[in-house]
Amino acid sequence: MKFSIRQLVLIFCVAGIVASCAKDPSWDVDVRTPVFRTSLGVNDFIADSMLIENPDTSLTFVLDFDLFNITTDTFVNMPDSLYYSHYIMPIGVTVPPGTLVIEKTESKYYDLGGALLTDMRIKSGTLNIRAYNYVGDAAYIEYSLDNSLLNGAPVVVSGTVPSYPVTGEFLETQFDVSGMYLDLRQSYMHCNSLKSTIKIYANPLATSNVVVNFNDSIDILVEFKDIVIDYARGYFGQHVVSSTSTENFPFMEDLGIDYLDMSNIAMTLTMENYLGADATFTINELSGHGLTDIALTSDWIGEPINLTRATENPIYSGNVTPSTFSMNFNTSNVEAFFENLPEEITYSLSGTMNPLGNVSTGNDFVYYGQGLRGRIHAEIPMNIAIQGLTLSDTIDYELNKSESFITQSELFLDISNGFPLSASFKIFLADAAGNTVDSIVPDTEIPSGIVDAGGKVISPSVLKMKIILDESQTSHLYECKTAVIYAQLNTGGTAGQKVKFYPWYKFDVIVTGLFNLYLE
Amino acid sequence: MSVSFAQNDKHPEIRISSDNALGSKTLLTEFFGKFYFGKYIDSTTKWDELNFLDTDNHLGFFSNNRIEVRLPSKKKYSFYIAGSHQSLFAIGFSKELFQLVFTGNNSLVGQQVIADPATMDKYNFSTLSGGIVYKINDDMKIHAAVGPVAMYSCAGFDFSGSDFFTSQAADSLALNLNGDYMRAGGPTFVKGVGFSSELGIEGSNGGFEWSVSAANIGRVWLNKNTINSHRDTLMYFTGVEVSDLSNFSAVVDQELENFEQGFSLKGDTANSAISLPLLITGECSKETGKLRTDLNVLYYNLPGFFPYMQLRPSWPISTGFRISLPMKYGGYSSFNAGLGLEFVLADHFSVQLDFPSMLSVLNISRNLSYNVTGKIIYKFTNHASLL
Repeated sequence: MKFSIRQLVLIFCVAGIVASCAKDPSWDVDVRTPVFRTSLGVNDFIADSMLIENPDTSLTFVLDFDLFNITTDTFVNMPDSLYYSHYIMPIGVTVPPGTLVIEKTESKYYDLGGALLTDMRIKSGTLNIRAYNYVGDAAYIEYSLDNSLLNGAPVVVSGTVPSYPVTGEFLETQFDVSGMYLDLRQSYMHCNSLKSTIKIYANPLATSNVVVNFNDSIDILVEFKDIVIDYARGYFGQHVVSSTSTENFPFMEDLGIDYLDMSNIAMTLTMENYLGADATFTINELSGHGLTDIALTSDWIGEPINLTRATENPIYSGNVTPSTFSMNFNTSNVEAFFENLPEEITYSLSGTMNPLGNVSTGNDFVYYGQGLRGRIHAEIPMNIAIQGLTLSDTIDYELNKSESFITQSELFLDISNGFPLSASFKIFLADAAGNTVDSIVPDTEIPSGIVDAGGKVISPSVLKMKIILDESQTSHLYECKTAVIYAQLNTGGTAGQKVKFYPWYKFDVIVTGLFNLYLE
Repeated sequence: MSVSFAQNDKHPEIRISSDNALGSKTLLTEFFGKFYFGKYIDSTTKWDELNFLDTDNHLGFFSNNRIEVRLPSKKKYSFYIAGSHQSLFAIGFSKELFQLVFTGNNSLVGQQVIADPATMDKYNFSTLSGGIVYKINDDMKIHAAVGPVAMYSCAGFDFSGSDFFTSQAADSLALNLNGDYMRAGGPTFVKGVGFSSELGIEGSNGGFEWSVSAANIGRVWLNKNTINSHRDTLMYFTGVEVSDLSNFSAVVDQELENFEQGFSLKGDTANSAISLPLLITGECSKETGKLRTDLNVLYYNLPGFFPYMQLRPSWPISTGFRISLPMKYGGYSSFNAGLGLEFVLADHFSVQLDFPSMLSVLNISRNLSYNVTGKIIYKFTNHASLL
């Protein structure tokens, strides 16, 4: 239960009740109260999930970073335009309403750039039909994809096409084909094929026989729109894939450090092939951009690497086991790479899919969102020399300003530094909109914790500070809603000396205030 | 004070009395004056007061106004009616609690503030009763009466089991709130009704005229809006809302409203019944030549209330005029003395006024003690004057 001094006063100072019929008396009180507190630890600059404890209980920073992920649409795609037909009546006829005038079934083979697909499932997308009717009356059309299955039946799209010369209108409709399965083996090529049937009926709603004149025509266009492939199977062809990109690398930037010296970094780059197709690729470049630009130098750079195909067991199950290949960069210039404090990483790779051709005899496969994935894993022992490591915490607080006149306040800072690094300390006060309004910057540096011969902190250094806030600062303290506490860890011992980090290292700050309040 | 008189068999007898006292044994007049009259309470005044306080402190006020009419009778039995209006207010507080409230908690860092006592009782009610006087013999009578009570306001709390602690580093404040709270609520003027009875005995022996009575023997049923709550809660400060400290001394009801709001007491409403604070009065009078000595005793059954005793020697200055030197002890304050007078207003009407407050007025006694008692008597006697 939250309570305030008022409640306290109300409980105990029943004398106030005596004054009920009198004028308000006034007096001043010195209220000593906690304002806020925080405890900053290693997990304030590195998330718990990224830290592991070593046998000696010191910490290792574990970094996992997805460098690239080349997915399905890079390897397979579908043609947008499926069907276009322009029907012209060779003779004039008069038929009863609803009479089937034209029916046409065809299988069509699509050239997919060397890919020979036999099965496909659509994750999302629509089948769109646009039709113009130049007959003097409306017509009813029905388009079916005979080699498709959706909810157990072929996809059928139908609609009434108004007479364009009479109404100036045409038919435009779409049909959701999410989840549709396509058997692409319907043509003589046994791949890349769609089988469809179009039926055109005389206006079923006509009240008299429909007259179709010689040379009347109907145009029909059928298209796929926004198709996302969920699964594809067949032979994907022999593709050359290349990818170059620069990705943000936030880990070092988040530390907010100016200088870093580390050693014994273990780094691997793991390639994972979720494609049911063989691949050969080459990493042409892997470089970091921080204090300067540093490219990783390793035997793996520029070296062709073969990745076998992923396996799926059982077939069509989606239970894919990727093939993986890990490259160890421990002997490279990885320490310099990270000490450069990279904020971005640039990669360039090229490769060939199915370099040996159709060795799977048409059994390549790929599932949505899967493809080639490259992931960096680094383990950085927290035995490092750093400068400017910033720990920060944001605290919401509330000191409602009263009508009481507050001339000045005193803040008492009880600081306990359990890091083996000296620290400087700042508090920024921000208003409700997050704008920094004032700052409290003690001019005293907090010494590092007391360390043993091994450099491990055996007891924290404790510092008590009193800061007198003038009227303006006091006012700001009351107006603000958020305190952002920054503790910047500098160096421990000699400059550049490496220190280990342990999970119990903490930087504790307790802020209490003495407020002289004038009450009336 | 209570009445004591010989009954007339031809004429009714009327007596109006009023006893009022505000006092505290340990609150300084200077501090209370600044507080009550809305002055700034400076540091010197506060710490002066703190040095004067005891471990337990009480401040109280009572005002007992009564009218009584005794009807004439030639029989052993006679009838009388009486009405009263009584306002009572009493608080008790510890020295540390006073220090916490008036100087803040900075001077109490690392100390546990024990709020014992931390009590308040407040009553404002009227009684109307009718009864019988029975003449046992020529020297002794007993009387008893009963009638309705209207309660206009009633509140009380006892948080004497509470304490407040500021840690040495002031990084935590803890309030252990333990106690009961009651307040008659609702918008109606009359918050509760009930009955009250009284009984007494009076007589004269060996030149002494005396009387003893017990009143306010009764019970009042407060309405369903009455807040009646018990709290046993331990709370920690996570921050301080300084605005809450402003406007501290608003009117009583406003304060209680805030109190109830602050501690979520509003929901604990129900019909409640209370007993009236028992009132015991006694009077004794003796004339020795021209000197008449009156001793009056009044006791309310309230926390911290010591029997209020007033000794009043008086002697005549002229026909129809007497002066007195009233001296009092008890109630909520200590010894005080002053002047009084007694005069004939008209035939059969006499007025008596006493102000045993001179020591406070002249600042001879520093503790708060203001007392006023008075009587208006309409009485037929064998003499032309009561004096």
